[in-house]
Amino acid sequence: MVKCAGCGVKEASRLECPNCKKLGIPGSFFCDQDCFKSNWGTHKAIHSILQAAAKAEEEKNETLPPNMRNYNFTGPLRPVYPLSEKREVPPHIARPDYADDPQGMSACEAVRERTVKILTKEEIESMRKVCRLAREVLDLVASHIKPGVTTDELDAICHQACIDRDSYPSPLNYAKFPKSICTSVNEVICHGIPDQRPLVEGDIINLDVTLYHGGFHGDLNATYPVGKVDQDSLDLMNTTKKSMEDAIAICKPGVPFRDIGNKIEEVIKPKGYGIVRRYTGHGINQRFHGLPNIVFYGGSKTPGKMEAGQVFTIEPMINAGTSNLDHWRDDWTAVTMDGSRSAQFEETILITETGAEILTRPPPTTSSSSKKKKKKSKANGGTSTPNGGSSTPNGSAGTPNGDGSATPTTEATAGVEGLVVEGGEE
Amino acid sequence: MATNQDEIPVTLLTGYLGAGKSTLVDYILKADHGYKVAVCMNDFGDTTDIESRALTINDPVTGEQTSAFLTLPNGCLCCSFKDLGIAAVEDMVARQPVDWVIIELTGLADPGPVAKSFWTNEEMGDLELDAVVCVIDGRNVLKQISEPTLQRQIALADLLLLNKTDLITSSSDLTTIESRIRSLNPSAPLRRTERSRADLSSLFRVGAYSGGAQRGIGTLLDSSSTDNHNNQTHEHDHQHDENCSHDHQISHHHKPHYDGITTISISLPPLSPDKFKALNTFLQDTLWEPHGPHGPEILRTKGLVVTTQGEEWIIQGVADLFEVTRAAPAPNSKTGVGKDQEGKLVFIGKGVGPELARACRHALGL
Repeated sequence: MVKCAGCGVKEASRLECPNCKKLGIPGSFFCDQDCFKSNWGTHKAIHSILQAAAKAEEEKNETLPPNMRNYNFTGPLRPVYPLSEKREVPPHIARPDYADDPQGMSACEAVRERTVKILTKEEIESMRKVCRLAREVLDLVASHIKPGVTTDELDAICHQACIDRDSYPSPLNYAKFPKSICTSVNEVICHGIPDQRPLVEGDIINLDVTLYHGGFHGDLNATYPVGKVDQDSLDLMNTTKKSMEDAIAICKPGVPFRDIGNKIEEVIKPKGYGIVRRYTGHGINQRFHGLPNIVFYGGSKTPGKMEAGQVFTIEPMINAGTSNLDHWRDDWTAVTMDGSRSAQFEETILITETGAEILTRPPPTTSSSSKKKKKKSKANGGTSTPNGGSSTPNGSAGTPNGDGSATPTTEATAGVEGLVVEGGEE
Repeated sequence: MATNQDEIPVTLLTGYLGAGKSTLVDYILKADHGYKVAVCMNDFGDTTDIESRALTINDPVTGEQTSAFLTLPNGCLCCSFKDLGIAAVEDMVARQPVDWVIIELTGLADPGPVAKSFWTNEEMGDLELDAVVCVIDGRNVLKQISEPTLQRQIALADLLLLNKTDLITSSSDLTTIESRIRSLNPSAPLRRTERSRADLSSLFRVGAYSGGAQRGIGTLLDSSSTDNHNNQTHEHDHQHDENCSHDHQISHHHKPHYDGITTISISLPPLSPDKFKALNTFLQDTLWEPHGPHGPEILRTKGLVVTTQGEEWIIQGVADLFEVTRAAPAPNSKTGVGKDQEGKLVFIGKGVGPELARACRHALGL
């Protein structure tokens, strides 16, 4: 017997609620007209719940650009459009060659390189400068991460911070990328486009900043927790950062480039994470992207050895699940195929005679009074010892040390104190 | 995650103008072999105009063919160092699964860079470079063989199809032609065909670039074993360069016929761990360091190395790319390498000479 949807006692007749029928809600059969009327007050709630849900879904869809409405998203994250207007860079700031190209194509990058560039002393100084500025900008933008902030607001902060440093934000119009920073949230692996989505407590977000200053690009990124995040995300971030640190530590003249991937795989594989294979590290100088290509997985055929004077990035992208990826229909956003979270850390390094100098992690020039910094300054040593105490995730893997994963340097800590998760850093 | 089984083999089809590549492609698309084959018949070297290229796919059930223009997949422009043509092919076969992808290169293309791109890319995608197959015009090859492009096509091939053998009138001509081809590439199997009618099973899943699959290496050893029999010292260098240009078969040339494309084959005893490491360093130094205008330009490297621990390692290389991979232990493997088996390293390239063999032995302390 099918019971009446009103009284729930008598057998239902063929009288169906007309609204439910219209909305496609099944099973709204009542015993008689009077029962239907007397239960209307409670029954009608069903209609509004469903309508509200449908409206929310519709609104969500409305914020998507038309070409993404039928896209089968791999995870829960959705872009929130419309994007803000293109931000302008004042004319007094020197622009890279792609800044005004209709296709955002870089003329200097179109010239095929045969070998990895060895930078002169002067060029290295320029790289030091732009990388230091890039670090400042990243730390500044990161200090604004909190629940409720939109990635577009972070873009505005980044854009202005670049201008304040007489720098052009390299991503802007590079191959037509529409914004000045890449913001990659949760399942986004890289190249997320800043939009109107407010960050939510528990998100993780990667900020990828590149500046163009004095004719050179400096590139770095880091992944941060938004408020309190779960332990799995912290582990993912810590391990990713450790893989980058360990890889930087092996860099010196004569080491094959492919050993970087071998080292990273050594750190990542035991955790069962997926190493992204489609995206690589890159040479960086007057070109935003050049030789060498640095892959982050083991057993690659990548040719070549490191030589003093080369500058390139190490920026492993590590997924909690599969290494396979897909792209949103926006030409840029790379997401994990299974919707699992992805973390990334990046530094620009210079190969020196004896090792590697992390250009995007300059030695402190001012003695700001962060007690944490004082505590760690000994362990941090010089810039040529990339594996300094502050940079590696803190000791025991089980500790939910938000600071370890969230802040790439001690200097950055001061800026992102407000974001520290679970237990804090003190 | 893609395993080797999931990866789609890619055959690069090369050969000089008029050799019969298109006839072969046509034959493959129409023959009753049960494979679903995707063929890209446009030039692949130029990545500027991917969307003008089409992919033709046969239906093994109905025998019908469909063609579709390639499109650039979303997001591929920002993927690092991915060849856009490969991205487009990969995207298409992801949406429409096939068993076999054939890329037909133009008659004037050097297959080297394309082979390199596909081989690099297979680390990141679902396409696996299976073999470079070269179709040779049996009737005209002697006239054409001074062309550097043809020489490279032959030198880089993993399988050689000597086509139009029905048009070669005498058997002595055939012998001459084959020895000419062999001088450029002594290790790849050479098969005679008429009207490009090749045994398709011999073209499919050759595994010429895979470390695990041993078919390609088996071929290498086959070619080497005869050499070993003839050699007491186990240190012999094959050279086919200027020194061979006194060859009487080509009467009107005084210059070297092969523009210095030569092959050298180096026998290696079982290597201790230290020597094995030294070999790796030697390969890095030889293949990665620029040698200037007079140094050797190595097009292809192949090898099989046995260690004193009894491990077998396979060496594969194209241009500056190489990999050393542990051979899958297979009791019935074609290599049939035992503990007393010698290893072998083969270099094919321009200006490859005995000094390279000497350098190798020196580096290994042999």
